[in-house]
Amino acid sequence: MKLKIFVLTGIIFTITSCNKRGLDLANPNQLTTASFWKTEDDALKATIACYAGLQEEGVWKRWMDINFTSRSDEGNSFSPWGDFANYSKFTMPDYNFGPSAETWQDHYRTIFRTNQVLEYVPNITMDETLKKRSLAEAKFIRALLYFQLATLYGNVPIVTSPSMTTDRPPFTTSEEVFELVLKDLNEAKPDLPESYDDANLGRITKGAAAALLGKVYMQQHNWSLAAPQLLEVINGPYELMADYMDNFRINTENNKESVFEIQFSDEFNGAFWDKDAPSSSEGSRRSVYFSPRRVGGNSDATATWWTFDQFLLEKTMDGKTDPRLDATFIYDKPADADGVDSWWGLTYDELAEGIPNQLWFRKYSNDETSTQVTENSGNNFRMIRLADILLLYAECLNEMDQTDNAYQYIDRVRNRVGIAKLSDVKPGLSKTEMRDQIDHERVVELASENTRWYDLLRWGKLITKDGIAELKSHDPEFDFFVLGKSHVFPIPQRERDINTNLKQNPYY
Amino acid sequence: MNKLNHPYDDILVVILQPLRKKTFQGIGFGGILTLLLLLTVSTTVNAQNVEITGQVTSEKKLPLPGVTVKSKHLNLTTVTGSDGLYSINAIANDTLIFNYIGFASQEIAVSSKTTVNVELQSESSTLNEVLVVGYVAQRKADITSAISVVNAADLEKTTGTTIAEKLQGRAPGVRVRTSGAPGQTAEIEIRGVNNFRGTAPLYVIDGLLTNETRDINPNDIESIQILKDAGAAALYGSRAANGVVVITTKKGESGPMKVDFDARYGIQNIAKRYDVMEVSEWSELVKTMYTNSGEAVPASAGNPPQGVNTNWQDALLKQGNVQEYNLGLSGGSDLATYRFSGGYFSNEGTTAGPNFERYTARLNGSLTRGRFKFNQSLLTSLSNSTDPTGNPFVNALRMLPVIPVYDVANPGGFGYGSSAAPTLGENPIAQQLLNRNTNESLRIQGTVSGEYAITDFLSYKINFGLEYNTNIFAALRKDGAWFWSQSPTNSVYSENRNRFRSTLFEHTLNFKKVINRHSLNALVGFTDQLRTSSHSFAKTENLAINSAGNYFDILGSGQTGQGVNGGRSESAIRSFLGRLDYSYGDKYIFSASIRRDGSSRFGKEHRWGNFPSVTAGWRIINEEFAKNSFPSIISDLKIRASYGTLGNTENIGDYDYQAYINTFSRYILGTGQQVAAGSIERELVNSNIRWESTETKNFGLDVGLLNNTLLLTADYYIKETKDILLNAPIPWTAGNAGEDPLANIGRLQNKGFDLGVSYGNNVGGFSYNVAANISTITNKVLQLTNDNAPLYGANTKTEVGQPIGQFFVLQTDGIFQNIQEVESSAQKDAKPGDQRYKDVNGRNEAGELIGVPDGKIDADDRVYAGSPWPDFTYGVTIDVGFRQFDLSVFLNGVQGGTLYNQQNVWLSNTADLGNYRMGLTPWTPENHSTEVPRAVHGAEGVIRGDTDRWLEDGSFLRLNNVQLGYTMPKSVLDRLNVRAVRIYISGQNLATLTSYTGLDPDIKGGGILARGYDNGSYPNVRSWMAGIQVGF
Repeated sequence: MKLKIFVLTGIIFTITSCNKRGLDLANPNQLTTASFWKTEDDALKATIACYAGLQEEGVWKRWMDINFTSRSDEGNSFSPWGDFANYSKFTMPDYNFGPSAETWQDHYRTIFRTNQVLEYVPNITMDETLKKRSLAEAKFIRALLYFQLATLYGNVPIVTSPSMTTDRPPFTTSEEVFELVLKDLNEAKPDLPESYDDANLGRITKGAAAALLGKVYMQQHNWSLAAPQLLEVINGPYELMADYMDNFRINTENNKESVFEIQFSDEFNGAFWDKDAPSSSEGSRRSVYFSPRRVGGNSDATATWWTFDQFLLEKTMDGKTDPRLDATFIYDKPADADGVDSWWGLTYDELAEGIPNQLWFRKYSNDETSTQVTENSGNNFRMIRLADILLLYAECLNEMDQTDNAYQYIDRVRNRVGIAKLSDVKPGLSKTEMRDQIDHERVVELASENTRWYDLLRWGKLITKDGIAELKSHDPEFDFFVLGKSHVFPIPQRERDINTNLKQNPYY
Repeated sequence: MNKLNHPYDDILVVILQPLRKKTFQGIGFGGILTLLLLLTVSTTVNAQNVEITGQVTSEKKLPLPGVTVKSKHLNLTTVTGSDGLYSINAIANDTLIFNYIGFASQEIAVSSKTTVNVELQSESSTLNEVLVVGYVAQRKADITSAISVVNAADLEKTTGTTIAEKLQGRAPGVRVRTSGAPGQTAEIEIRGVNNFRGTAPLYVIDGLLTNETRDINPNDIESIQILKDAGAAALYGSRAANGVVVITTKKGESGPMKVDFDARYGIQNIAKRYDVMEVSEWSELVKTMYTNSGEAVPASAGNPPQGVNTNWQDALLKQGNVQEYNLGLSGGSDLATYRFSGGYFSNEGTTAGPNFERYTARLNGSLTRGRFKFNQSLLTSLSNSTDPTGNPFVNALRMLPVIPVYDVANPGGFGYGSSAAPTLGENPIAQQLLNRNTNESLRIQGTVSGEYAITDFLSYKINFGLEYNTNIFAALRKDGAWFWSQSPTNSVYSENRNRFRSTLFEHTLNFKKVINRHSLNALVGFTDQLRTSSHSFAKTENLAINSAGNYFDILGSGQTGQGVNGGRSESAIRSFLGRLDYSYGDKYIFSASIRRDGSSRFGKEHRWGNFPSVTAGWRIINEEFAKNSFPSIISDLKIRASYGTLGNTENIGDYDYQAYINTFSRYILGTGQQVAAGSIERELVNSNIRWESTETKNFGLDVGLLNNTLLLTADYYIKETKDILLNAPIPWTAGNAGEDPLANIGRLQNKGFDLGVSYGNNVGGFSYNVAANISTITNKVLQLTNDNAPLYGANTKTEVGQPIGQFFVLQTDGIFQNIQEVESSAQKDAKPGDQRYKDVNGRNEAGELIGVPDGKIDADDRVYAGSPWPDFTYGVTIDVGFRQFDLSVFLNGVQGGTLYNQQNVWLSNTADLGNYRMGLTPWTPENHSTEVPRAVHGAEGVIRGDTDRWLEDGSFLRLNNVQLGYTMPKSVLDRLNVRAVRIYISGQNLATLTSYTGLDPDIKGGGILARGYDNGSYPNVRSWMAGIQVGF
């Protein structure tokens, strides 16, 4: 009897060890990091996530247009959001102010993604070509982000491996950051293809790496290393689009002029703040920021009249207004003027809602194909296009005392929009005169495309008294510019509070 | 009080024998080990002469295990088995002596009998009560840790939805804060706040480890024990840091079937209202406000609409009611007992909208057969609630008397603000009628246990517990608006269905033995609990409506906006436990226990935690010297101490330690701009999170006076919780896209004093009992994040060295009476009539605070202006019985503690439109008020929330419950063939002595960091009840 009972008890005991899996319970809702980083598919998806980081608010969805264009002499802000208008005027009493904080955060969040790919993908057994390409894509993205960070903040901490909660990265100089950027790009470039099949169009190409390398070297005034990279792009598979406007239209994305684009789509309509959620937006918010309130925009950032005036300096060979003016601005056109006179199906007067002398940037606004702007614009941002590279190469040649050789590249850009050749109208410019000419050429070709801030930095205009004096004449917001201080943002206070290794930028 | 009066007791496992005989006196403590060996080897007694057998039972015919039986002449001893049976050798004219804790000793002459059955009579002392303290039970006299026993009969006198709210004021060290919302659950804190994420204690209901819900019928409860220190709670290990509430439900007793029926019905009202201005007075104030600001007076004040004078409180509040019916059927035989109960409880709210109802059925049973015992308890509960939308008690004050409740011109048909009557207040009636949030909860909860007595001193028990709960949260949002400028929304219907399942298996082996003066009880066990939950959510918009305007509130009726979501979650806890209780001579009492818990909520390296405790007690009263030298007034005296560690895992997510991959990090690629799936880790996780642990030290004193009619229990405790989980800030450079990861870095200390006193007597048919308790608590933060950055709540600050949640505000300094006062102040832009604030702090060049006025009023001038922690809390229960009448009075109170009265901000906001307090007289050049600043619309600084103007003393003394009952005399009952009839009337929350100007100083508060923040708390209601209890 007793034996039976013991046996029974034993059986009960065994049956009732209810939970066979013990304490190792997998999360049924999400993949864990432990179960990831195993397959080729994992590697490719993780690389996609690095690209996805470029769409974040603080990268290309929202704030870069403000950081680069609105703060430059091309743009200004009359936003009713006072702190935001002050941001455009180099006034930021709160070093954790949202747009700056979000720029910093989203750059490092995306760097975290690239660091994961660079750390874990090498250990995955997969197609070697794809593996190399994935690593190169991650390196390019990381380089791009550090390039932007060093440009905006100066001495930013370097993080190159997947983060731990205990990490407190040391202080690094912007020179060290640039070194990392160049190293990543030089390593990435050989493993990137010249082009992609239709399904993969939009990925980073060898040309994109060359173009970015050229840009980075130029910021360092390293003309001799910049020149061959830029020439490589110019000799590459790129051509200027016949219609300048095609660079900003939603239906002419990834065209032959385009070297690298940030891809956007209006496929999902989730709220913009809901990041990486099932229905979260893959769109851009640029047009909301730049567009009139009447069509759902915020009119937070607008254009300076100095920029506008640059377009009036030369007419086309057939005596018309430079077509780039209409492509760049929404403005109060004289009644008898030709070209575009309505946007989103509305006249200027309708858009202005009674407020005189408004000047909006037009590029990427989709005004031809919609009646409202949205938080989810699917219009890709052409971050690097051939015209930019042609002008940079011309600048490079000029700086290397090959001013005569520079003309042909500028003329290609002018010719596309019907402006007479520079070699015809201004032959024999001196090196200094050519610099000023290139300044002008870049404004009329690239206004509001976020290149101006880099140009001003490269030309020393943001770090010299004369430079600031000139910029004040373009944009009164520069009255608030403090020399030696305002060319970079303050390091967010929170970062310094938590990571005592960091130093604040001068005068902040 | 609780006696050994239900079948559960016969599996009680602590058998301590206070033998007065000194057979083993010489052995001392050194001999314990030898004894243990002896005990485990054999318990047989050499045979001699006659073998006598029999059974020992209680007066209720329940077998009593562990009774010491001794033959006087042969000087032999044995102990009854779990079925109360014994056999012993004796000589023919021997005498058997039966000794058992809590029962009077009996001597019976054997004569020539070979069978001696004995019925022991229980001694009437509360010290012999047996308490279930977690896997084991102990005689109250042997308790050496901090345990409060709450009398279930007391709880039945008050009306309430949940057990927690009924515990208010009943036990020292247990703070309960409640509201009057139907279906509410109370905030319960046992000895303070131990972490920043939740204070809910662990509940153990008939052996099932669970949490408190409103699905339990408090009427089914037999007894409640509150385990407050590690000495008592360590066997619940990692979940016991917030304390443990052990609940035993009512069981049947052997005997013919008993039927108990009780019913009660009552009406409820909100006792207090604010006196607010009528339109005429209101419009004058508004005119002044706008004239002073130089703006155009809104039309509703300049020319008030005819016939509108809405008292929003009157419109919102109504009479509610509560009704409760319980039917119990119980009975059984020596072999089996049963109790079935069915209950219905409903509470119709005191405002438009909310209500609650609950149906419960419980079946508890037991079987005994030989060495087998079987126990079972099962609850099935269904409840429905409609919950309030928004914050009606604030919105009633933000609406204006010139706005009608209903306005057909508005979408939805309700009145709200407009440019003529500018307020963003929300129509609280519209909120309830346009929005309906309901919750249907079905809960099945029960345990089944089997026990087998392997030998007289060793038994095995298996306990299986199951809990299953489904919740359906349904929300219907109709078309229409309830505040000015509310964006139009589609009608929406959504359902959120949750399912929860918990299974518990426990195996325990219990050893108990009494050898004369040595009493030993040991327990080892293994437990395994798995909890799974899942939820699914669906919504749809633009619902179909029929011609009568009724919405089709089903998921199939919407035209657009379909959305789904869902998820699943699991957690497991595995534990090994052990406990050893030893006492010697009913004088020296030791116990040690340990639980080793493994939780799936932590990573492998941090998964297992040990939660040990030791306790010791000295019953001084049983020492010879005490018997000889103590005055006879002292009938009991015991000192005790405990030390141990408890853990907390209940406020941690199931997978918080696991980093995961986000699979929605998409990008766009290809000529067709196709969506490409991306996956990456985007949120950093601290995989090293581990248990929060609370170290408790408790020092106690139990005193019995006047033959134990006056009992006193005092406890002093120090608790220190370390490794508290906080979201510790990490640099943004880490790239974390989620909340800051959790880290075990906080430390908190709670110290306090608990005192309970009771006195009862019966003089000439007049019986009375008075029980009182008082508790103090001091809470202090020892460490927060790594850099000790303070935590902020609603006008509160929590920092190291200070209690949690103190108010941190500007100090008001009267009203500027003239321009000279303004000019000499730090508020140069102010005008006479504005509020003056104290400038007490500024910063140096480096931006550091230096404690010196800086000539401006800003956030740096905030100071600690009040603590939400009371000096002490207390409760008093007085029960009086005379002949057929009984009267019970229950008071509870809180002394000290500051509250922030948010309602007063709205009632006194002379810078904005509101429902002003009657008699509010702002400063004017003619009326130099020193209390209320001038009325000026939109003026900055005239009315600001972050000042001490809104702080008030939260002390109160509440006449919580009075019940008067009449029991029919037996002579009448016999004629009616009824066992018992009692009728009663009672009143709840009848009077409150307080200086607090809000509706109710007893608030649930604004969370752990803002516990004193009264933001329109639903006040406790006043109830008038009548009831009847009938027994057949």
